[in-house]
Amino acid sequence: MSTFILKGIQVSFEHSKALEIDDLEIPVNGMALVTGPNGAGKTTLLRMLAGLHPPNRGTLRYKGEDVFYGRKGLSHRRRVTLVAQDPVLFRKKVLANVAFGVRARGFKSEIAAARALEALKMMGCEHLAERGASALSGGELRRVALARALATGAETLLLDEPTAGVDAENSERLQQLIASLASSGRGIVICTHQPEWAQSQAQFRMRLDHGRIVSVT
Amino acid sequence: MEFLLDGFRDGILRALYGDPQVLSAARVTLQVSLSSTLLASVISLPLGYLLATQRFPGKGAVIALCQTLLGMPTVVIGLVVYGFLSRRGPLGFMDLLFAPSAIIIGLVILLAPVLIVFAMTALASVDNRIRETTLTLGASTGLSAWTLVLEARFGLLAAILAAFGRAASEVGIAVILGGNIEGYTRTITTAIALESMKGEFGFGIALGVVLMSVILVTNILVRLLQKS
Amino acid sequence: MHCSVDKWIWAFFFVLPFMVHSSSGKLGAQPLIKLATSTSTDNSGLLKYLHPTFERMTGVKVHTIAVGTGKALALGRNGDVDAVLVHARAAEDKFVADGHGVNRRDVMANDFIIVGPRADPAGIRGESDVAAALRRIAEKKSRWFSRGDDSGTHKKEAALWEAAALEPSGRWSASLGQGMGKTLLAADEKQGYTLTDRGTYIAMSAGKKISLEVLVEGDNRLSNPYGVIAVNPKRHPHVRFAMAKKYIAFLTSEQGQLLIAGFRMNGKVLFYPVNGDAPVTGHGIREPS
Repeated sequence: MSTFILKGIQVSFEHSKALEIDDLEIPVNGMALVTGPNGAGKTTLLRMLAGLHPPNRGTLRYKGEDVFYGRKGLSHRRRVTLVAQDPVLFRKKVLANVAFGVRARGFKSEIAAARALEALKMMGCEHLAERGASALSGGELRRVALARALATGAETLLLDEPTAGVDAENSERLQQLIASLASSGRGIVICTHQPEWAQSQAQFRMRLDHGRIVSVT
Repeated sequence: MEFLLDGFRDGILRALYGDPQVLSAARVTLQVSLSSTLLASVISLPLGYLLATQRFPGKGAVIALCQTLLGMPTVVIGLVVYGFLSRRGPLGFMDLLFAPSAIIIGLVILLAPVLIVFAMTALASVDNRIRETTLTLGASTGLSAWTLVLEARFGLLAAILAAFGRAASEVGIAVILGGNIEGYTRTITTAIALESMKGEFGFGIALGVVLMSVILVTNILVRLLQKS
Repeated sequence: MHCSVDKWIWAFFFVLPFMVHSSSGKLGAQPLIKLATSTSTDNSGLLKYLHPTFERMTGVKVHTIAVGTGKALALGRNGDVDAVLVHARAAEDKFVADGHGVNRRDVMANDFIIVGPRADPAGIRGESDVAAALRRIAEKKSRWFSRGDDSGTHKKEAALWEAAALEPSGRWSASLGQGMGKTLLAADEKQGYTLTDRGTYIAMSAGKKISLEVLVEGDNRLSNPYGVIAVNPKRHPHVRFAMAKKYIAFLTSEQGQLLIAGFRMNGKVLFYPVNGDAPVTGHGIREPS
């Protein structure tokens, strides 16, 4: 059962409900696509799936296991990683940034550096390895952030608007890469309000509006 | 101005030729200000971290208290600590008064609020997306906290250097608790106070230059460490 | 290469504070006594000149804490020092009578003088009656600077105004709350009068820091005797009484007294020894011309 299972989920911020999902199953073998206008609750959903923000009510299971948050959520956070819509890098060199998740899993620095370099190559930005994090353009930053998530080796990637603010050429590249990741067995959940490119490739599509499911296909 | 220049020239020459009085004052200054900065950092930086990251009842009051203590005159700290360390006070039996350790105790109390407030500000100004990023990349809560500290390192270092400068340039605590004993508790600042009392203004200013050199060299060493 | 430099810098920050700390040895290494004294004795350089001999003879180190006489006695009362060397006879007697100190001995004396501007607007130059001189300053409302810091000199000044049956109040008088040096500088800056011990005056005028002149001297009431007192071990059992007694014995010994007599600043005698137990007479002590 390679799925997220959501039951009776309710997430609210200061009295306003951000998400309300009674019953949902999101498959994570291949690509799942979540669409909807701004403010539909897409980001809230991903943060919950990533184990970063607990729901106020309801249960969430990932591949048959309950998802925990906070200190107890470490093992879940090592299986599922989120690339935010507006990612931040640490004040380190690019290579050290990308190696972070590998180091966090207890690997030696040489191994971490090798895996980080590999991930950077996949994203076509190994030339940035020795740059400082503050010296990147917006598109470079986004690709480095994706490389950082890839390097962790997490089995499922949650991508929040991965192509927003990336120029046409790089956007194309990213799309191809994400597609190849999905076909190589990684779970991918993508949130976007411009769904065109992913529509055809996704095995699962759902649409959110005002925190509720509008459609699932 | 000539009367100042003469004393100034004389003082600078004495410092350059390694006058034992100037050297011992510089040594005592370094000793008490480095030790107190180190001790105060060990105590205050974790507190600053707690204030920046945790929510607990009374947090606002603690912050307000620290910010108020920032404005505490050093002489008052000196007198209060004297009250504790004096033979008539509760800690008199420890025989700490008129020794470098007494100055260090006073300075730690002076520096703690400075470090707490500045560390809190430095840590709170770190982008709050950083914490979530570390967590989703698979960091334990400990590594997440440490990454936050690393992200704030420039601000934290600035806080520590500011504290060191405050300790090295402080007079009231050093005089009251140290007693300005030559070669033992006479710091550069208390030596300046003494010289100015004797009307040796030029020499006092020269000692001021020595003090600034000490602080400057310390800052340069810290920068070197930071680069590597 | 980079790394080895780093090591030294880290050593500087983490080892040095503790290294010097232990080398300056709080106790243990060398016996010491803490002496609270008036600023005038310390600023004159007398103690720096006397103490090496004492330390060589006895192996006891003297830590000098120079504050005003009033504060020196307060430190003694609190048991924070082992001995006091001060100049305020009435306060010293009270200190002993109240049981705070024992073994009081006269050590030396110099005298107070009234100094003022060369122009001498109050016309007190050469006056032999100090009370009369003060009355004239008050009459003319000439500028008067008082230490105002509860020091021995301040206590003496208060006694002299009492003798003149006056109180220095009004805009012509200023109470500074400063040491002798600063008070002399202020009086010089504003061309006013002040009461000073002769030692500090000589030291300051020899360094050409002030241009004030000696206007009134020689009145019996201007004598300035210094006494040394051990803090009472019955009240403060922790004081280093045996060593304090050694120190008192040294100051009043023939050798100590000879050393005091031999102390010169710019060729001038600053302090006159008195003989051990004999009370200070101090009448009209003057610097020899």
